[in-house]
Amino acid sequence: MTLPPEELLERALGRLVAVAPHLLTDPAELPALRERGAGALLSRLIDDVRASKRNDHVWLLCVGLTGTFPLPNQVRSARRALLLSMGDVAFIAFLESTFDLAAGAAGLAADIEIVHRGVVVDVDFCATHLAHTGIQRVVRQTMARWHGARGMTLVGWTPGGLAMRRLSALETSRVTAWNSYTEPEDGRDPDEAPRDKILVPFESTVILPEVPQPHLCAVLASLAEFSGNRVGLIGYDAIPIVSADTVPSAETERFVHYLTIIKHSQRVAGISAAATDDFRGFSQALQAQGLPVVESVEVSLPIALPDLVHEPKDEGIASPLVLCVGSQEPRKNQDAVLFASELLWREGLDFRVRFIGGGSAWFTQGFDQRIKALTKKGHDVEVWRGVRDDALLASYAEARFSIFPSLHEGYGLPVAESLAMGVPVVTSGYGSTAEIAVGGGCVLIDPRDEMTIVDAMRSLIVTTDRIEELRAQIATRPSRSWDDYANELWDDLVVPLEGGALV
Amino acid sequence: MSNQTKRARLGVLLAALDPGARTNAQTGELVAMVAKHLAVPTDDVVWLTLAVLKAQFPLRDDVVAIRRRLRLEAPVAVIAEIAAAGSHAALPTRAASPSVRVLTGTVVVDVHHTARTGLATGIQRVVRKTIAEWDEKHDITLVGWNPALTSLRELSPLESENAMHGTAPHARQQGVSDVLIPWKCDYVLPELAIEDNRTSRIAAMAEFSGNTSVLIGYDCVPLTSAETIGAGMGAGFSRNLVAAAHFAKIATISEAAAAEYGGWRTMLGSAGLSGPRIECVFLPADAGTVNEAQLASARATLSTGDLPLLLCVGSHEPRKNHLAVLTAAELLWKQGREFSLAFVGGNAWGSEQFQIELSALKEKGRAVQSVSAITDALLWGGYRAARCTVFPSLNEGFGLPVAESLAVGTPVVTSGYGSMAEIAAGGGAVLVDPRDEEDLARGLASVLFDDAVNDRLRAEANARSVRTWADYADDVWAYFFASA
Repeated sequence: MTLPPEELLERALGRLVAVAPHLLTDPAELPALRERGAGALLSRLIDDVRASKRNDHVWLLCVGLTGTFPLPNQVRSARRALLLSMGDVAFIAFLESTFDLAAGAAGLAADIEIVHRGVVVDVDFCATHLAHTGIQRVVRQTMARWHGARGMTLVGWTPGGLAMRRLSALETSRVTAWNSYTEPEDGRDPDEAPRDKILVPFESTVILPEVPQPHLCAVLASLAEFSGNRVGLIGYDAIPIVSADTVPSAETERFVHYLTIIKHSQRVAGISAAATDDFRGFSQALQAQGLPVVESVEVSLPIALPDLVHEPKDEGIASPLVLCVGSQEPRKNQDAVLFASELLWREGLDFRVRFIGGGSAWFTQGFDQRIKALTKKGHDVEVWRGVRDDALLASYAEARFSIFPSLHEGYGLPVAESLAMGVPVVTSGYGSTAEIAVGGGCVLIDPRDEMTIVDAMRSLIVTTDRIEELRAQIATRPSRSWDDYANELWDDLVVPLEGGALV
Repeated sequence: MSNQTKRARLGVLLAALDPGARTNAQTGELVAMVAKHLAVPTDDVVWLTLAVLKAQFPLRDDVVAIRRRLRLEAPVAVIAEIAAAGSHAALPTRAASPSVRVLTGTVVVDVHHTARTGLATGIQRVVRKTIAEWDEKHDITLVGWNPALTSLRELSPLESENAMHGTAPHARQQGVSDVLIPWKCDYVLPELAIEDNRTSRIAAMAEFSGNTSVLIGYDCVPLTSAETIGAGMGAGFSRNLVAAAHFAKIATISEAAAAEYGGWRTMLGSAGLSGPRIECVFLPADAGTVNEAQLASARATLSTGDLPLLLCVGSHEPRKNHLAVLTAAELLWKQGREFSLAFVGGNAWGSEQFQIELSALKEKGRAVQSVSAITDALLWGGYRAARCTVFPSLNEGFGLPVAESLAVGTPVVTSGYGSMAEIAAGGGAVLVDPRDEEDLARGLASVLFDDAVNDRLRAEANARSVRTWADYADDVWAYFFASA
């Protein structure tokens, strides 16, 4: 869509009028300046921003002029242009310095809405994608509870990551009403998002509950460093760094760029004590750059079930079922479970093993071969992939215990799910899984020592006493719901960030 | 070159496991004797068995898989299978079959990159100065990797020379070198290794082999300042850290680098790892000398007329913040200040904008230039000819140009935090906020144009205590090997 020049100029004037109250030394002059048109208003804004020498003002003026959120080097370049020029020269220098930013052009047609001293929550991925695993479940459960109850604005990004925008009704439903909304059959959004209107937080709190997509990292890092908005995030884990050997290189590359946002943010709410320590460690490392501390606070995820009513089944007369839920990959250590099972079958123990979860072909091909080899030997082991939540819950209901010997987890959702289903868990004795285990119902093992897995499985398979004991512990665990999580997250992440500009 | 037989390798393995064993037995007997050592498989023996029999350093998954098989199957069968798979008959060409030697009780120093490079930037200089000192005083074995980065090997004489002195930049491996397998040794990694094949094998060695591994830590920039690095470094460096997690000690080159590594170590808790001990062993700085002719030549090359010279040493990557130097300099020129500015350093990732701004200032007639072909004479002549040097980096493991400038008595304007502030603490520098060009300009003005300030800083710089490379090498050695 190309607008005629006079219309573009009109939109530019609209944007400058929107940012002007926050930038003019004397906002009372705005009506008169507006009368004189975009050029006169911009000239005054440039003079006032130049005099203020404030990075947040430079950032906001870049947005107002171009309808596009600037990258870090673009803010610096604009700031330097203002620093080195005066009078009419400043006007030209500023336009020159923002030319690259404006050259994307899409922003020049945009109208602007400023959210001043509010709370803006970036849920771009959940609003525009239908994936619903780990992070998306946390975001959707939380936003379902914040939406309508808390003063905040949900936002996504315009195409290409040029600027923030409000969500369409359908997008809002994807984020806040996952279990009740209906996705249109052709996937098309009936009321396209208002893409010609951008939303600009100023002196506001910006919350990033997702791990932003790679193309948004630099523009968000710029927002965090320069815009004066306070930025808070949910911190999930640092697996791509600490366990870099278990993920594709691209994931680590993406993660280190995600960290460039956190570097200039104010607060991270970790989903477990272990995850919180990950981000505390990162903040410690920033001392070397003379940067202020990024506060880390623990807001642990709840022990809760998927949103589904389930009907428990009797175990019946089949041999005990050992359930292993989670994506199949080296970090989750399923091969250690296969090893322990084989050893115990050779000892003559009678039990079944079921793996539920998907995985990448590079791993599952070999894994499936190992499963097949064991099946050939007459052992009862199976892999379920792509199953719905009801099949998952039925499996939990059938299981004697579940096993989750992961080498590294930000939280360990399958442990929490199993406990929520009343099913004892064998899991790793450190990090987030050990934290969950503190409440009872778990047997801790060392995932790097497969003989500890063998011993734990054996003790739970051969006697029922220990199982009963663990089930009793589970019954007395303090309950923690998504309501609890959503409330605590608001109180511990959002509330401390509210209260004006960071300059 | 050799075609070491399966039997010979079994003999080498057995000799390492049991120095008193009879290693001239038949293959089947040797397998049975090795199997006794694996009746209850321990990680170190599994690692050594794989490394020796396959003449290749195992990956983590290899060690774990064999450990599990040894618990499920008869060790004799498993070992016989590994020995057969690793023998020269199973390799594509006979010439590719190297001899395996087990090194015991020595200090093995991995200088794979330093041995084969003509570069002489920060890391290579630290490595060379350190190992040259060590080589004189201690018994060390310099090693590199085979071309596939799957096993350690002896260095050729030229490679050793280049590793220590940088005098044979085109040194290469010659023929098939022996595979060297450290056993009950100290393994030292003084350089930065970021090749996946190499770091993954170092990781398995550090975790399982029982050798004690130590490294020199320069910085964690790829983790903490990803916006300033090129693609690929983040992942490569993170996998270096995965290996480092199983090391015993890291000697960082500054307290700032220790803070970076310390922050990373905090993160290891979530993976159930405690990580290495981390201590700073502060780097020394050379005070290079030049003769009068070289000094005059450097002055003529770098300054304009008789104007006082502001020198900025370092490559033009964004992390070095040279755009801020140009901005601060222009602020001063606009105020009517007279001085010449010279950059000495190569282009690097992300230096395009610097070149554009530099050209714009040149077109305006400002006294600024950039020299990318650096010689020692120009560098040290420049340091000594300068009225002041500037180094406003955003993140440094050790700001070498700060230390070098102060070592020859020339004042510095540098960043008021991190390793740069640590070096400056010894006197001779003015600290500024590198993210604030006006602050930088104020700092520069005071050192360039206020004689009293400049004189005081020179006096401070000249009074700094001198730390030599011998001091550094001794301190690192003591930290690695003499302390508990």
